[in-house]
Amino acid sequence: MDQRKGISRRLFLQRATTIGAAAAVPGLLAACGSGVEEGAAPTATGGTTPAGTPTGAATTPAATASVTETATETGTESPTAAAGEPLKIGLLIPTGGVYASLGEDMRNGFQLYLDQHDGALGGRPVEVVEEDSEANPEVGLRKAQKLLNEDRVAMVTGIVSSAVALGVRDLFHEAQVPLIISNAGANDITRAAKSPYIFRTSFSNWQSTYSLGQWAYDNVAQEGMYVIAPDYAAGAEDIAAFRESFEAAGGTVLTGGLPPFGTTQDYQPFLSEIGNAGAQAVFAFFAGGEAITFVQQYRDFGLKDTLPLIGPGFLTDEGVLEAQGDAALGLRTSLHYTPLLDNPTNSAYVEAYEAAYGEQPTVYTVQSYDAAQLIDLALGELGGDTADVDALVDAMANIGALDSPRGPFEMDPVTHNPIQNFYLREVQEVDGGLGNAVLEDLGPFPDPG
Amino acid sequence: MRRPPPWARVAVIAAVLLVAPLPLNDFRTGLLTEILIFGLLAASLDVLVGYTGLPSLGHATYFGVGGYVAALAARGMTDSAPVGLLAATVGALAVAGATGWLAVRTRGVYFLMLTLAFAQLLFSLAVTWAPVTGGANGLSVPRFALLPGDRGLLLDGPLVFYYYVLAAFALGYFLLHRLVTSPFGRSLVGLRENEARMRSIGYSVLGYKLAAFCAAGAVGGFAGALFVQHQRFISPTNVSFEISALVLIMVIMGGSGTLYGPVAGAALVLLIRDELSSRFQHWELLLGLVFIGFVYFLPRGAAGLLRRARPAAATAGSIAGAGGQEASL
Repeated sequence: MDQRKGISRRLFLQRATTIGAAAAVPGLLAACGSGVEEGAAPTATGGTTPAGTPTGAATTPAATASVTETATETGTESPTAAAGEPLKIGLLIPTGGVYASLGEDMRNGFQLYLDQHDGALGGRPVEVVEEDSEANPEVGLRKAQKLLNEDRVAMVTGIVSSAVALGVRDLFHEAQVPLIISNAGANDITRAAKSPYIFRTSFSNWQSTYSLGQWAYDNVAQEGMYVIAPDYAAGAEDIAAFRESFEAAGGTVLTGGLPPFGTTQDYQPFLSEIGNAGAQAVFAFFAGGEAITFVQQYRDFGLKDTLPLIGPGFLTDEGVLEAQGDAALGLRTSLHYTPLLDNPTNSAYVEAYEAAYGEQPTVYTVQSYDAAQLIDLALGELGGDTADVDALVDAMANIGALDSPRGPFEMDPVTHNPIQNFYLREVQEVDGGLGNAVLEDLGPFPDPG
Repeated sequence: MRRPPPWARVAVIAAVLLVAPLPLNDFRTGLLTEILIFGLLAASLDVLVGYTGLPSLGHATYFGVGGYVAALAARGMTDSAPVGLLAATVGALAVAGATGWLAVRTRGVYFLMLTLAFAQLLFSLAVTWAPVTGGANGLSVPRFALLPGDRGLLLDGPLVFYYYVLAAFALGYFLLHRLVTSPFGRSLVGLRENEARMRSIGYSVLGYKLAAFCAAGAVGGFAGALFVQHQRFISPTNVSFEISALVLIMVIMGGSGTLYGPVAGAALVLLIRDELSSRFQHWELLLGLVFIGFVYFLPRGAAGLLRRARPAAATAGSIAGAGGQEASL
């Protein structure tokens, strides 16, 4: 009797601990699955929710669905046989983590162009297949393989992270499937790792930062510049390009920091170093949830009033500006877009975007909008026929100027990277909210390739 | 009722695996390849968790070391896949020897924490040592051939690569099987069941544990190299806690102490991941629910279904043991 009782109690304990483990493991896994690579849960929620909430509201019910049917059969005449069939396009974006709001913006921008063109590109009704890259090169590669080999998409667009872009580069190059990157700025994509099948409607990291050096030397500080960026491809390249241009102008960089990407929630060690090192100004590249955290902590640490903070405009883009609030007011950054740009295309674009999604567009929405435009125009030249991939990428390379909300945009036929102007902007109060007002047009900065 | 002879079962499984990719598209063939690779990884961890009773939460260490060695070998030395495999196995064996020497001196939760610490160390190294590992960006790896030199039979296309991995899997699994059914393997089970008794009858407990640790690490590195040759890309994700935990889940869901169970567990987990991650953002949550269901209703894992009729080897204890350690995390 005693024995049996003992055994059953042991069994019970085993069961209990096992169930406990079962509860613990997925918890850990969930925390670390996104945590290790892309930002622990607190960052994800704390960082992206303020920016992400308005975006997610009601406008995109398909947020979790992988296949978003956007095909509309109505109103598309078929010039060729291929033109009647739906065109499958893969959309590879992060839907969680510190870059979730960027992914959402990219989906919206692409969708807006589709909605304005009866859901068709180049005369073909479009079916978008969405996959989550988790902004992790490993996951991005697996999802890209799925898009190519299982969904058999004709082309892929999206990609936020430079690391993902570099990771999937060989896959697209060898499979000879067009990839239109609508954010990731990894320099190598237009340089050493250039591919005839890969295009970019966004920027190269060099472009987005080199534009700032001379201006910073003339207007902010000649020496004692502290540089900080997350420790992954884009961060390192941004710092290198800024250093290159700032030093070419005659300035000197003091020192810098590379906080781990996606997992840093507390920038205090770096902020104290900035305070102690005798810096005269700070150059920072951050985007998405990390931009919110960094800008807020920079203010909270008392540095905002004493040391000017500059950087590529992702630091204060419209997706994070609201969450940053006063902490961002007065910051000066450089970027190839702001919704406050004064040109007719942009005015119409901002109006349409706000009507559709109830918030300001961002640089990410524009880049994806232009990706859709690039596909539309190139495919239109071929009558919607995707069979000849070489003809398609040739048409894309030689598309010339796009009518982009960002102002001048010309596809460089050699680097497959846009030649575009960069604007020096300042965060100001605009119509009761915050906006990036243009201070100066820094002119065009083509990537040297 | 007579059970069919063992070779008949092996023949059937081999036949199924040989024809399995034929009706599949390239992506599914790739997934099947991945299942074999992770199956081998989980089976190697099973030597520790299921047979020796050492719950390791850092098996990604050896998976990652093997992967990085294979990647660096491919980038700097040779495009021959088997040479890379060999180098990766040796590299992982060396790291397993060094870390195991320390780890086997501890037990239970300390062993678990130490293996986890090694994995985290390596993860940090992979992220920070960018000139060699490519940092968080990872490294792309050129195409592989079977033989070194110019005439080396390019391993091109998912189907060709699948058969290469299948052959490697068969070799790895065969070695693991020989290991656990050998007198050495039975001694490991003895260690798991009653370490004090094994010591008192004269076994070198530390030596046996270290040998098991090295064997598991070496095969783990072998699997890591296969994975990198499959993906042709490596990033610190390969050394991450996510991999360590996922492999342990594969072992437990499949049924520890069986070798074939963890392979089934790998198939289950990867299929769940693939089916869910395209549909839900928080697929880990659903995997967790499935895992809880498994642990509660099938405490011996998927393999328990097969073994129900047979006299059960005492695996349940080791499963709960491994799980128990985890709970105390």
